[in-house]
Amino acid sequence: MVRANLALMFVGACVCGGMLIAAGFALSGSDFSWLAVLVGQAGSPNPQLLDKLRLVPTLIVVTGVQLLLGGAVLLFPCCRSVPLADRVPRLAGLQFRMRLLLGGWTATAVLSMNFGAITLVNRLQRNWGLSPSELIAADFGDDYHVVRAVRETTPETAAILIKTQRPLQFLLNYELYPRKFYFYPERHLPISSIPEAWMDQRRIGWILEISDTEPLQFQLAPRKAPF
Amino acid sequence: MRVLLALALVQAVGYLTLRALAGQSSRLRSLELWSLSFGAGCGILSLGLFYLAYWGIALSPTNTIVLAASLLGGLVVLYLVPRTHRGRTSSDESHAGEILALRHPLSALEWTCLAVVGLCIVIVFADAFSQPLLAFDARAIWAFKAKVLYFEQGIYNEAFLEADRLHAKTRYPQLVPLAETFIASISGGFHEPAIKLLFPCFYVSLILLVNSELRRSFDRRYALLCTSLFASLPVFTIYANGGAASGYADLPLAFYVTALSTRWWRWLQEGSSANLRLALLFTSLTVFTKTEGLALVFIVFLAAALAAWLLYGRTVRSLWPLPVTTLGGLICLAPWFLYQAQLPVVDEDFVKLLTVQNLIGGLARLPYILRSLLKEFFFKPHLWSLLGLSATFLVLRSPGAAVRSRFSILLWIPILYVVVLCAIFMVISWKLEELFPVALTRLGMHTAPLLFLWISFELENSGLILRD
Repeated sequence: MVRANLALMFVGACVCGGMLIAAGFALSGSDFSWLAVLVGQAGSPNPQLLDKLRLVPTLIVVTGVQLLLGGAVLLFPCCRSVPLADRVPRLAGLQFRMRLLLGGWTATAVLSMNFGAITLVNRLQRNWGLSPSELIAADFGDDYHVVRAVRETTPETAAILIKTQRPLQFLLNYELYPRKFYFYPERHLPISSIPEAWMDQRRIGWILEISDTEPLQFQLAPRKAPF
Repeated sequence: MRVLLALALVQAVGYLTLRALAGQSSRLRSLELWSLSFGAGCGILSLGLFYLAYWGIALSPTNTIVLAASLLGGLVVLYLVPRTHRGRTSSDESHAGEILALRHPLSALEWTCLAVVGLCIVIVFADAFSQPLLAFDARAIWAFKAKVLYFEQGIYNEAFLEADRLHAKTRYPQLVPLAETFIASISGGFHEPAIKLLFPCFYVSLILLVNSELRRSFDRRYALLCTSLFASLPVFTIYANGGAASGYADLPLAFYVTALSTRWWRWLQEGSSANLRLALLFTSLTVFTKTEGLALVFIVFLAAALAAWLLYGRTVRSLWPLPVTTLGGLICLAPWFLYQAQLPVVDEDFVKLLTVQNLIGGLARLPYILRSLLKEFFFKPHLWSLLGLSATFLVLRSPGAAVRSRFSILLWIPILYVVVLCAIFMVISWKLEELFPVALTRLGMHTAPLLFLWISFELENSGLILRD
């Protein structure tokens, strides 16, 4: 009985592993936008997510190979000599549903670990030799023009009035510290209408305006009026 | 190398603090002590740094080292002096018991589970150490505060107090930024990969905490199996914007809430005063980690009070330690609350928005909120594995037993938290379509360890798994 179970498991592992490997190769190079919509937090594809999803075929192949290896382990004499029931928690009642649940947990655990490892290896390969500042620049993408412009143009002690609704402003605030970024409380007011006294009080010497619409455009200029 | 010294200091301060708080009669097992040490150390050192800053003492590297050295010195004295006057304690006995348990050879299943846990930890550490801070909130909120604290060496500066200075979430608590400042001060500079190591350490602590809770009730095999499933939850290992390697404060908050809830649960079971002292500490640290911490402390308090009254048959008069301990934890944070009141209000005040009128007005949002929650916990196995499905399966199998079992406090807390979150989502002015994609998963993380523990206990209790 035990041997029959083991044989069934071995065949199942080989068939599933083989199918996964075939599916992985077949999916290689496919467009995963549909999957990004399904698994993405925002329900729409974004470049970072699509970049990760390109690793899905590798994930499927690796998992298939693991299944095959797992099946091969079942052929070892030690597996055949000990009843399988001693190797898993003994279940009573609702066995099928419980095993299904445990199997589901195990499957997602294996997939998530594989995905974590594959993503990590892929990133390490891609980023090999890059300095932390180059990695940060790559993460900013096109927006890094703003970081570079502010860094190269303004002194570290600069006080800058920033006008934008983009979340990018908070990353600039962190990346370009110790420069001080200020915003005028009435965010929609044009810069020309912001009281000079308010700017003088904060010793604002530079004005950075970033478009709220795509594509990103920005203007960095010294403030003309003295404080 | 110096970052390892900083992490070791955190662990040592935490370990000795717990030994001092738990006292000689403590029934804390060594695994439990180790699991709670890192979080306790981070919290104690952050609170210490905050008190220094509050009293106007600069957070210079020298002052930080002096603080850590004095804390460590005092705790070592507290640890050593009573040891010279006592024989074997219950803690030593439980430690001996654990060593005995470890001497039994591990089965193949146990080795596999340990390998899974180890691999998850390696992935998370490598992920954190291999790149600088890149996740949005990690930089925009937490590390920005840490940079200001580290370079300006205090809390009374324009970056915190000036309303027109750009600063995301000005009023957020400062445990995580202060812990980052501590690491930076000891390691000799604000190096992002070094600072990021804090978060995987919280992940390891949380895994150990879950395992130690399971080991109290179950055999080693079942505890290891459940621990490996918990450690491999994708939301911790591969989730980029909130996972264990990201630098967000949600994982530390999950750790502190789990520590606090399990202390109360232990108090309900054992009634020992050591758990009260630890609950007081973790009340403070939960509130000092994130804004949601305050709501969670009240939810845990309510759940513990209800459990004591309904499940453990305690009289109302015997429940006095609950409010006293919770209040004590909040009083320890009085300087923070006083300082927080000085900070500019840039974001919404959720408590003020929670009125009956607003809740009725927000009822129209409820179907969307419930749909999103359903989608989050049932249709995202790439984040939650089968956590939502397993919990629902067990609740539906025997609803009465699920709510009335002696460990149902572990279920009540996540349920109450979801109810509070729903109420807040109903009254806030933000567009939920924009908020949920960036917030819902992270909010779910806070009580996920408790829900996981409940599933593990309920599985055993329901007789679905028979142990030899």
